[in-house]
Amino acid sequence: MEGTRVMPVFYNHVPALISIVAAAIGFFALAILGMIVYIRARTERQTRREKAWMERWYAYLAGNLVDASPPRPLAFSRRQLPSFVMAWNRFMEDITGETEANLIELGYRMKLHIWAQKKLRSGSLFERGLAMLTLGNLGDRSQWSEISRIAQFDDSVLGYLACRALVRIDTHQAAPLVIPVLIHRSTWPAEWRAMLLKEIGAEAIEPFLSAEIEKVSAEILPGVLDFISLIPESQATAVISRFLTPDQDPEVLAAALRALKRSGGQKLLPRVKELLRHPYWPVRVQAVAVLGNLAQRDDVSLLLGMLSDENWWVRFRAAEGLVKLPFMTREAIEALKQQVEDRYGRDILEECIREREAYDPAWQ
Amino acid sequence: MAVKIIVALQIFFLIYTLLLQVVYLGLIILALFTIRRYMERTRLEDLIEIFSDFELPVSVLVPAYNEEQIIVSTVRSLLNLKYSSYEIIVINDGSSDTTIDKLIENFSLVEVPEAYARRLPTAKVRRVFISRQYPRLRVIDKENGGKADALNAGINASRFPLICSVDADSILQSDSLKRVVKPFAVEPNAIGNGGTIRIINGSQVEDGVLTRVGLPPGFLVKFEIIEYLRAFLFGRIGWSALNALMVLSGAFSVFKRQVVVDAGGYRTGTLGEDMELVVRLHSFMRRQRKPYTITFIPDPICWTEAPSDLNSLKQQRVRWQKGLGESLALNRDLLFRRGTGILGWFAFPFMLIFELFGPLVEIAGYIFVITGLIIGFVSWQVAALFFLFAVGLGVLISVSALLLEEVSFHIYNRPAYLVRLFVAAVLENFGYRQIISLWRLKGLVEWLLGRDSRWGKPSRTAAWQKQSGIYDSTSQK
Repeated sequence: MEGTRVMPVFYNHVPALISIVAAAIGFFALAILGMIVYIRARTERQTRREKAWMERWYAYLAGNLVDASPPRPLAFSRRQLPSFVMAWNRFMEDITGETEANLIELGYRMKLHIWAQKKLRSGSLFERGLAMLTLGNLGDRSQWSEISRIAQFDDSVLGYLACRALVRIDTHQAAPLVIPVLIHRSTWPAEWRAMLLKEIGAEAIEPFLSAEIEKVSAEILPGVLDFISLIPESQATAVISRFLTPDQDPEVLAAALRALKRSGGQKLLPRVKELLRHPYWPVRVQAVAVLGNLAQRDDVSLLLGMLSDENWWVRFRAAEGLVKLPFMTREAIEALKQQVEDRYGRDILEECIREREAYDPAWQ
Repeated sequence: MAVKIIVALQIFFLIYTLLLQVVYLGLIILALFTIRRYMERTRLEDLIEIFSDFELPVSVLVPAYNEEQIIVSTVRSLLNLKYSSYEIIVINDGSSDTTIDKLIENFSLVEVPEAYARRLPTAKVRRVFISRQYPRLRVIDKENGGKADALNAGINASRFPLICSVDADSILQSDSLKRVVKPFAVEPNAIGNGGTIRIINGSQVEDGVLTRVGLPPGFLVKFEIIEYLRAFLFGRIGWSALNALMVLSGAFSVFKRQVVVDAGGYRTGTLGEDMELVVRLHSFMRRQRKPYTITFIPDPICWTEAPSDLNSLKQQRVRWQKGLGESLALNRDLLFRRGTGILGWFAFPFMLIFELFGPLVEIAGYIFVITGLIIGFVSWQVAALFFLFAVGLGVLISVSALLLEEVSFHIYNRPAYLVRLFVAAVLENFGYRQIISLWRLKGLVEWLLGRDSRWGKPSRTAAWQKQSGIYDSTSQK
């Protein structure tokens, strides 16, 4: 044992070290096993229990959709309450009209508002989220200021649920508070924000969106412009026209054109045509896409010209636009194809023609 | 002098082994916190998810080579994804079997002229098809050029800003696409994200849908399941939390198309094209001084078949090790480069020292300790300590991975499965891991010697399918 002679201090302590490490590993491995078994047992019990509860809640709630006065009150323990709240909220998300009013009445009778008010302040993250969902669906105003605070200052999912609750409680009052938050908070997915803006309603969001759009930073402006399609076409066109100038930042220009494509707006077509030769290809792609949507017979030559653009996407959108024009017949497009001298333009047009033929066999 | 060398080697092997396990334990702790936070946030987000139907458009790319047995069911499963805005592009990479015929026959494909943009160079595209029945499906039939080449052809044909690569032998859960693109919706700087790969052996799939989760008989695949849990549940979560993730599985990952194109696409002629792309993207973005994130989230799940015989497993691991070597060597400029932070100063050296050269040290350590014990130049104390660090801590790490699985997804829901996996988590440290290290060492040596880098063809059974077949996969999970 040469090494033993070289490092006597180390080797003197090794047996003790081995025992300690071995014991620690054994202890932790067994502790982990214990935890796994415990978690599994608890999860299984919970899953079984909650499944049974949910079945009961669904049956009860379904029975009370038409009439909110239950034949006999449903008794449940405090532990069962959160699962009932979940079931009630799921029902609330799927229904409208009179049945919704019945369920709200039922919710109050079951004192869901008391649970939600309490959990809003003292619950876990999930309970706080569920509490806001519940208060929103109940239309309970009592926690307005607390929910407003969360909506304004919390940029997590909780903040979004707070915005949603405010909109559900009082759309009119919530609009000035929630819309700026939705516009500026780019850490929430655009689809969440768009969904809530839609829920608030086109007429209600229009004045705020028009005003706020002036204040947003250049970085998030393109994303915000996407929401323009949510407001009525005439107002949307007015807002978009402010950004549809050739000296505008190309990203903003492309976003404005994208918004125009969604919202329509024949009035701006001359401005769009001016952008077909923009040096930044994403702008040209969007301009061609708008033109493809709104083109009249006179614009066909413009689209045809874009088939020889140097960028594939521009050529593709031009070909797609041509083929999809409502007045474009099979015969007419074939005749147009003969006029295209650019090989790439002809190829992409041919591909789009064949695609339309495949998807729409009745196309003549 | 000899004594000093022996002592130095003893200390080196002990410290190396201990250090490796300590980093793994650190990653477990990091993952435990991350996963708890993630699960809580996901539970909350699911309250909203119920009502959302706006989604980022994604092009799903499915490279296929001789997949006649499975391609129809894979495409059917992809057509059933719960997602509103996506297209599927199957790239038949010069299969010598009837893959393309099966696709034409089953999905009413019609040929359209090829007019797509060649943003990335690829082997010749023979034909492009669209489906009359399913407008979101397109098929590219090209000459054989390897998986990276097929993916590049898919990128050329893609029409959406996000691309998602999916292996032709893999099954996605219906909500997986929805979940895997989530980081792109909330983080403007996200350029890549990957999901978890699970082993499908022993489970049951009908019409491309997973109908029952199970475990296969025997220990080999169970050992692989534990390995995957370790790799995905704490390895990737931990590195992702540090934005120093160096591999996303090619079997299921999403990237921003434009960034991939700008970086040059998938590199052909490499064995680990998935890892190489991720490492190159890090290098590319840091060179451009652009903020970015490459992340991993655990809940989008992709199921895939693992090798169920030793020969296939050996081929796979040798290939993975070569791929790792290639990826690191091709992007070695990241190592200790100024401004690369944790990635260049910690993750890259870790991959180099512990993942690439790890098998060499590990095997050398075992040989040194065992020989030394027999001959007498290693004391029993040192040997015991070495095995405690290598095997004992290994057990701890493996069972911790099982714990992470239990606190997060508990997919293996029968108590009997849990027991079997726990036993596997313990046993895999006694022999299995050492054999894997030996194969990885073989891969390392072959890579260093510049041996041929062609794809291996591990035999698979696809026994989990209603219609069984044999197919091969070429990706590093």
